[in-house]
Order: sequence, then structure tokens, then C-alpha cells
Amino acid sequence: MHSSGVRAVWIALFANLLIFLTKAIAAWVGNSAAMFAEALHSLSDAVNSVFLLIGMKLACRPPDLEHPFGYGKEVYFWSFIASVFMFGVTSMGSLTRGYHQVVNPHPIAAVELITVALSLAALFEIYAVRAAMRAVINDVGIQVKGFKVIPASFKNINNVANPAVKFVFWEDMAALTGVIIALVAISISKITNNIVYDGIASIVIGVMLGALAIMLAYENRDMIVGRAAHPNIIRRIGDIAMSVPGVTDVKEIKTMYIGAHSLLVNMTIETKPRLNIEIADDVVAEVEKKIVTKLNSVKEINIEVIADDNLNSWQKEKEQLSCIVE
Amino acid sequence: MDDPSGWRTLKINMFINVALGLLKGALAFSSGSAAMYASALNSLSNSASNLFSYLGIKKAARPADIDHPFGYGKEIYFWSFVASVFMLGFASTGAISQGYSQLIEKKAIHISSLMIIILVIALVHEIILLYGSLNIVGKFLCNCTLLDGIRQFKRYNNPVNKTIILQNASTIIATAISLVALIAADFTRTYIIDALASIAVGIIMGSMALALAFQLKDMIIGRSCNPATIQLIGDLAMKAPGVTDITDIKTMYMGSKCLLLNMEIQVKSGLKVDEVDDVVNEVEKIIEGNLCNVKHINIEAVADDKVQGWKKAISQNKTMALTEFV
Repeated sequence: MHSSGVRAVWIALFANLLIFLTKAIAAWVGNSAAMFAEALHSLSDAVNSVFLLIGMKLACRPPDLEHPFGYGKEVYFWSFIASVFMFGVTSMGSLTRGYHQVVNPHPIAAVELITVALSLAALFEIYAVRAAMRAVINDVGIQVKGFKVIPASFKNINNVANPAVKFVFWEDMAALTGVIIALVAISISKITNNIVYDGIASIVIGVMLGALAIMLAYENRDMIVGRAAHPNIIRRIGDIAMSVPGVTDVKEIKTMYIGAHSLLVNMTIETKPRLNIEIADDVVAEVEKKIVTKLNSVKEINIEVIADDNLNSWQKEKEQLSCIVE
Repeated sequence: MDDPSGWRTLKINMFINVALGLLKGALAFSSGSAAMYASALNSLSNSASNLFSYLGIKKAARPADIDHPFGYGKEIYFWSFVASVFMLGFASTGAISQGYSQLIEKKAIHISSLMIIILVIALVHEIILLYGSLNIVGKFLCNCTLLDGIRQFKRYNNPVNKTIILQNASTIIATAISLVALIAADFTRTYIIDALASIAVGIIMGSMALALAFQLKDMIIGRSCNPATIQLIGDLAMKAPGVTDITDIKTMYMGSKCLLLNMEIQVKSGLKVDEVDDVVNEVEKIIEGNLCNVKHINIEAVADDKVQGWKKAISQNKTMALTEFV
């Protein structure tokens, strides 16, 4: 794992812990359910970072006899645990607290303190959302500037190939929305003197957290089960192989993520039937070298060579892949 | 997965567990006994985990697609893991907290002979179930001493049967504890035994869930098959005419009956690609014919380097196998 990535996670962890403490103190002093839900929200973000760090640490262990493809999937496993925590502790906590506030309202105090804490949190979340939107734009590869980033990122969020970028986008959006909901609800509660709104906000935040947790779990389940690379990457792998002299066709490419930055590639290439095995060897070595240097996420590669069957399988496969992308 | 015996046990288990859970729950509410409550939670969580296993079996059976070229076999590990999380978060903590509040509140309990009868029936049923499920894995654990059997059981890769066996064993202990506690509480007229039994049942369920989760985690990350099987794969490949050596075997379980196998073989130098093709096909046929679990084979053939790699690997593997099994 890149050290810059680890540093970013540590920074996020401390930032979220700081926000959690601020919100928790405000919730405790002000006795507000919405604020409590927001505190839990920040806590779950911090816990998320902790599990991510654990996963990254465990994922870098080298492969061994029992795990010949390495430990890369630890990242997904621990990310899944984070989603379980998010669902079971923070989402349920917000829901129950909100329910109690609606059924049995307690007056809220220190509204000024709560407003200041939430405004500070909102500023921070806006900064985070901006970064997440930029990441989306970068991932899709379009050029926009200024406020046009906002509609562009929403329009392109489903085209993002990297699931982590997608999830961070939704996580930060949810965090910002949560802060705004809490802010609005507490203001309305103060103006109308009806504390029910405070409780309702807590329930809404709880539902949002639950939805986010399920989304995270679903994404991780896909990676745990064994997800293939994006069709664009598969197309590139095939094209690289085809560019090597001696390769007449690419019959099959099977890929699977075995970690956040490592891809397993099993492929079958075709060569001229009367080629000597020694020469075929060199062709295979050349294909492997080219793929590994051009796509640095490819960590495991196994190439089966068969005699040419005179069918243009790769051409057909490529057309199929482009259909999926479009 | 195509595991009729596993699925049948599951279905029977599920219905009986729901019935027992509801019956125990009703008795727990009418009597106020925490031990009975814990036992009810135990049955209900067993039925929930049967349901999760069923989901896993269903989802794992889907054929491979373009996004998941190695199939969905790992779904079974994912859903079994969800079951263990549920067991820990819902049943275990529920039983412990009920026992704790019984310790604090000291509610009076009314033990009837009906409760004792139900628990005895449950105990008998669970012993029959354990015997039945042990028979299923019996084939796998044949000719082993007890200690050897436990070690082999750890390697058993069908999580559904594994869950059921661990579950049944812990349920028997839990039911026995509840039964003894109820009889003792009836004699001594003290609430403490009832409360402590509930806590003990919670701890047993919790540790069972953790033990299961840890083993499933290994499968989720990507576990190799056992060294003896790797050796068998290599020996089988060496039997194919034209194969001179084996340089690399990497395996990973992609489901309870699905093993991914990437290997590198050496063939006589001077062979042509179409001849090598036939050698590789022969190796695949021999391996698939002897080991029905191997589903994805990719074989890279290289020219012989005159170094006897496989013989060396065997001696290494043997020492490995010895430390594992003796």
C-alpha cells in the first residue's frame, strides 16, 4: 500500500476523532438527539478509518503457503467489519435515541454551542466533499472547473471504476447532509419550541447511516466474492498481448481483484501451431513483462498457450466488452 | 452448491429451531427465567444462521459471469460470516444482557415442569442432529484419531456443515447448562443460578461465533488447499506423458466445492505448441478426473530447465505436511 494513502487515512482518522469529540460534548451539554446522531456519525467515520488501517496493515503481508495469492483481501474484510459496526452501533444508536426523543421529548439546551459546533463541522465536510468530487472527476477523466464540478460529479458518479472513490463520495455527501439536517432541525426546534423535530432528525440520520452501511457491505461483498477488473482494463490487457509478436489470438481473459491494488490475471493466448516451445516461452515471457509494466496493478499472471484455431476470438470478445462499457 | 446432504440438514434444522425458539420464548416470558430466554435466543439465532446459510448456498450456485469470471462460490463464506456476526451481535449479547439485568433486578421466576420437559426434548433433538451432521463430515474425517480429527476439521471447507456442527455442539452445551440451572434454581429458590446460566450461554454462543468467524475470515481472504492435496495435484500432473517437471502450484478456494488452480509445468524441450497443447489438456483431464473440486485450471507450460524442481518441492511439502498433520 502506498504510504501517502496510509497518511491520508491517519489524517482522516484524527480529523474525525476531533469532530466526534466536539459533537459529543455539544450533544452531552445540549441534550440534543440530532447532535447525538451526528456524534455517532463522526464516530463511525473514525472507526471506519481504524478498520481501514488494520486492513491495509494486514494486507501487506507477503504470500505464504496457506495463502499463495497473498492477503490483499484483508482490506475488504475489515471494511466489511466497519460496515457492520456502522449498521449495528451508530445507525441503531441514532434510531433509538431519535425514537426516545420523539416519544419522550427532553428539552434541548445550549443551542448556540450546538450551532457553532455544527457550523464548524459543516465547513470541514464541505472541504471533504470538494475533494471527493474532484476525485470523481479525475477518475472519469473529464475537464471541468469551478462550480460545474458539482453537477458533473453527480452526473458521472455511476461511471466511476474505482469503488473506493465512489464510496468516499457518498460517505462525504452523507456526512454533509447529516450536518445540514441536524442544523436545520435544531433551528426549527428552537423557533417552534417543538423538540420532536430534533428527534426526527436523529431518526433520519440513523436511516441514512444504515443505508450507507448496507451500501458499503454490498460493495465489499462483491469484492470478497471475487470481482473482475473493469472491461476497459481487460481490453487493455488483451490489446497489449495482441501487440506482442508471435501472439495470433487471445482466447480468454479471467481477472479477479485479490486486493485493493492487486489483480489476478489468468489468460489463454494462441500462437502458431508449429512454434517451438522454447520460442512460445519467450512470447509468454514478453506478454507478461509488457502487461506487468503497463498495468502495475497486475500482480499475478498465468498464461496458457494453445495452438491457433483460426478464429478471431479476441475481436469478438472486444466488441462484447465495448457493449458492456456503453 | 451442489451439496444435497448439507442443504437437507439445513432445512430440517431451520424449521425445528424456529419451533423450539418460539416455544422457549413463550415459556421464558411466562416464567421470567433468564436461562430460558437465553436458550430461546440460541434457537432463534440458530434458525437465522440456517437462513443465512441457505442464502449463501443459493447465491453461490449462480454461474460465473463477466463481472465474476471465477463464479460466486465465495458467497457461501460471506453469508456464513454474516450469520456469525448475527450470532455474536444479537443472540450472545442479548443473553448476556438479560442475565446481567436478572442479576441486578432479581425478578422472581416460576419454573414449571413443562419447561424442564421442553429443554429435555430440545437436548435429545440436538444430540440427534449433531450425530447426523457428524455423519456427513464423517467421510472427510475418516480413519482419524480424535485430535487428528479436530485438526482436519479446521481444514474442512464447507462452511454450511461446519456452522451446523459447531452450532449443534455449542447448543447442546448451552441447553444442558440451562436445564441444570433451571433444576438447581427450582431446588434452591435462588435467582442467581438462573442469571449466571444466561450469561454462560451468552458467552458460549459468543465464543462459538468468534471461532467460526475467524475460520471463515481465512477462506474469505483466500486460502489454499492443504499441502497433501497440492502434492497430489503435482503427482497427478507428473503422470501425464511429456511433463518433465512442475515449478509452481498455487491454489485458492473459490467456494466450498470450487478450487482455483494456477500451475506452471515444464515439458520436453523441442516440443511444438500444438503438442504442448495436448500435454496440457491431458494434465487438466487427469486432475479434473481425480479431484472433482478443481474447477478453474490455468496451466503455463515452459521448456524444461533440467532442474528437478518438483522433487525438491515435495520434500519441502512433506515437512510442511508433517508439521500440519502429525
